[in-house]
Amino acid sequence: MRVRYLKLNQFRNYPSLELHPGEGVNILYGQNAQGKTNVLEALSLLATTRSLRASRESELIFRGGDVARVMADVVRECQGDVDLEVSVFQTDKKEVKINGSKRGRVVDILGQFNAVFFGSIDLVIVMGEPADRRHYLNIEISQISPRYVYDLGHYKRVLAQRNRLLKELRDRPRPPKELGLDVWNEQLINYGAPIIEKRRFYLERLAPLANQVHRALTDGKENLEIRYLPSVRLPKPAELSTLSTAVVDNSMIRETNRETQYLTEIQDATPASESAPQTRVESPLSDTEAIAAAFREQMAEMGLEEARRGVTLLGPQRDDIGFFIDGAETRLYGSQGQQRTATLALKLAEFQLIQDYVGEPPVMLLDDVMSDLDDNRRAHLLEWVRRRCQTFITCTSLRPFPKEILAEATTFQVANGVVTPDVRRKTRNSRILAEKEANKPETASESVEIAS
Amino acid sequence: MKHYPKPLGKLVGELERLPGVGPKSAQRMAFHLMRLPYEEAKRFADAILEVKDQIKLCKECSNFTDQEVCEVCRDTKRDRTIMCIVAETHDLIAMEKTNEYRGLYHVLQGLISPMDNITPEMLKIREIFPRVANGVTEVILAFNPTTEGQTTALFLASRLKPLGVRVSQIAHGLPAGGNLDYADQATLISALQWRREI
Repeated sequence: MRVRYLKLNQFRNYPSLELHPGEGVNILYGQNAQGKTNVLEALSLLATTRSLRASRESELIFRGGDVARVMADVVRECQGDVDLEVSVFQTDKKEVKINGSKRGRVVDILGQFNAVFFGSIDLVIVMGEPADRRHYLNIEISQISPRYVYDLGHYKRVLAQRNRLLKELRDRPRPPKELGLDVWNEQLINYGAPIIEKRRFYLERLAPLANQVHRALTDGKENLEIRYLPSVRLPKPAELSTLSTAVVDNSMIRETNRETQYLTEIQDATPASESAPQTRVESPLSDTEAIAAAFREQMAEMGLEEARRGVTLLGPQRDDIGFFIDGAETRLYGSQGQQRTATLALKLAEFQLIQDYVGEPPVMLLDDVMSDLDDNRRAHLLEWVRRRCQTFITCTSLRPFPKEILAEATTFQVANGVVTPDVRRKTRNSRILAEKEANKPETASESVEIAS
Repeated sequence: MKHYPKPLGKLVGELERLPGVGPKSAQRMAFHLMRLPYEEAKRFADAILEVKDQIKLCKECSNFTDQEVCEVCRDTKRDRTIMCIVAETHDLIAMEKTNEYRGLYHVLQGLISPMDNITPEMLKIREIFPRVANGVTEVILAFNPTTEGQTTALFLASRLKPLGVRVSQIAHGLPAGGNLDYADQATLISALQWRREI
């Protein structure tokens, strides 16, 4: 997957920008505060529909403009090429177009274009609050599961309604059933259980990949363990399909495919949902149903405690992820270097996971990693992205890049909202290459002689 | 409001409280009403009061009516074994326009939503049970496919089913004449969930 053409209109500090990125490594270099990261943010917006750092999305609009627009022409091997467009309005409303036709819902663009972002803001995943980690999970899982976004939207609504009801019961105690608490309980479980299942499924696959990368980054010296810490205690592993018995649940894989495949596969697999019609085929408990049962049981164990406290005490809104390096919690005991390495390992694992699901590598967005990482990790990262995927790297100078990367890379100079492709550098590089080529026959014949 | 003469300011203030009306539209409407001939303005004011004086809830189904019992409930040609429960009167009107449904209705006058202080007891739910006991064999739930609509449906189903009445819910999914590949993902997910055997 790669971006062939990117166009920004009234986006951040760009009144307008057109970019023809190269297929491999693209380097955006320039002084601070010139708009390098804004290009990455635009690409990330296409993948996630979210801004990287703005609390209000209208902050993405160029000062004095009325609508920020990001358009991209994406080359895809598996699903065919696609034109994507995201517009952000002053009212914080967004609008998306796929191949020029407007879609009713913004989330419809999710899954069309996949990108993995890595920058210093990602350190909050390891070092920040549980809410930061849940936010991370939500964004990543929604990139590969539209159903997750759907359930999450409903869940948040049910949670808000249920909390309001519990507060009412706390302030004016009455028989809960009279106010319909039993139905809100069921709704919370209906939408909560699939969310818990998707998170478990995602992290179970991410964890071994992340450990692999972490070991490679530390020359096999350290082990990284990523653990899902759900608020609802999960059923015993024996009752859930794990990696070794992965045949049972392929709900996530199913959803990443296009509608046609989705529909044919549905014939031999029933979706795990309580609101499915009564005519469903009888089958052993699916993972989601097993989780729903555990959720229901633990909610019942809580009894009237929730009504006493006036708030929902159980559910995905209280989930967390634990990061442990050789058994010690990274957030508390890890050095800054270890925290950075763990974050990088997480991001590269995420890259692999998306590649597995989508069938082709996503686009890598690396923000200011050249100054944030030490030589060893930097070299590992560049070696990773090189020839693997299209990559956009921002940095203040080209100096830290190895020659072989620079020779292949497309470079852009960013100054005050203007991005200039480095034609001069490119030609100089190709001249160097040409000289090398010219020298080659000699060296080749020499080696042949030596060999003979 | 201090820029307006007092009575005009009062009118603007009242209009602003209407749903979907902002300060600008309220001002425009107020100026329009002010310039109306006296007769027309009086007709408008009377219409508002007449609605307040004469419209009440049907004793049977809680629909809005100007009689004791609404037109649908008085209609002797209706099938009295089927009852369709809707949230609002305008939902009833939409169902009636289909000319397909010939059973009875029941209007809840809202959906369960604790955030808006609407709990089951504030809705016309209590009134359903004596009606169901009076010969209704099937109840159709027709609510918007929102979290609140679905919760209200589950609430009613859990309370009505033990009475031995058949409870069904209208389908949620693709619009008639719709195009599969134009449907958004949420609609398709819902259509898949609600699929049925043929």
